[in-house]
Amino acid sequence: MKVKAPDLSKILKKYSSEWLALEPTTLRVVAVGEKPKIVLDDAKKKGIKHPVLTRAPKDYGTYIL
Amino acid sequence: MNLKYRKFPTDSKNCPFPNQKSALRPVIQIDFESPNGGFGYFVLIDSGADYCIFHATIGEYLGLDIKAGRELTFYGTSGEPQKAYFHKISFKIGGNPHECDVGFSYDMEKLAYGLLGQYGFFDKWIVKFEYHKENVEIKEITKR
Repeated sequence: MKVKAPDLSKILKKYSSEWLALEPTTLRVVAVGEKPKIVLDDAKKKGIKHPVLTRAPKDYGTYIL
Repeated sequence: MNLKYRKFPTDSKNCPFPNQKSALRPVIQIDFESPNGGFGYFVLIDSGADYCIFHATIGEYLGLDIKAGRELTFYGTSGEPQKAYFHKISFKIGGNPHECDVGFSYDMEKLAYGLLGQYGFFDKWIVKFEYHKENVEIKEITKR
């Protein structure tokens, strides 16, 4: 059975040039800031023991790496 | 082990296919332990990258003296030179311990994820991309 890919397209779209901490199960954004330390510390203060860190780039364009 | 692709936003004003609402990418979560507690980090499995490259600010959070690492000048498709500094680090992939040399770059801020490249990842894991199933299967190469 095909399991669908987690969809972050709507969750992340409103952020730009920021670090984000996500709740690991729901992938809800729990903290936003300029540096990983800021968002991870903030997420942990909110009770998220193992947040997931990602970066919102300035533009969500196409990647050719 | 099977890991899922993830869907990320696209820019509707800069997309050749107007019906494409998201970008499906082989982005997986890796996990770190640090003095400040554990956290996950998204990385793109990138067969076109020679090395593993992560955001320098992640390395700072891990307590690394970034510029003390071995320096590399590397190039993306833009042809612009970028710098990375290599350190040997440990993290987990799907719960499995993994150790490799990673270049930490302050020039990564325009990218959303770290990159898992040939040396450090593909030399240690067999990777099967299954875009149609939105699945990437990876298997650790056992040493003889």
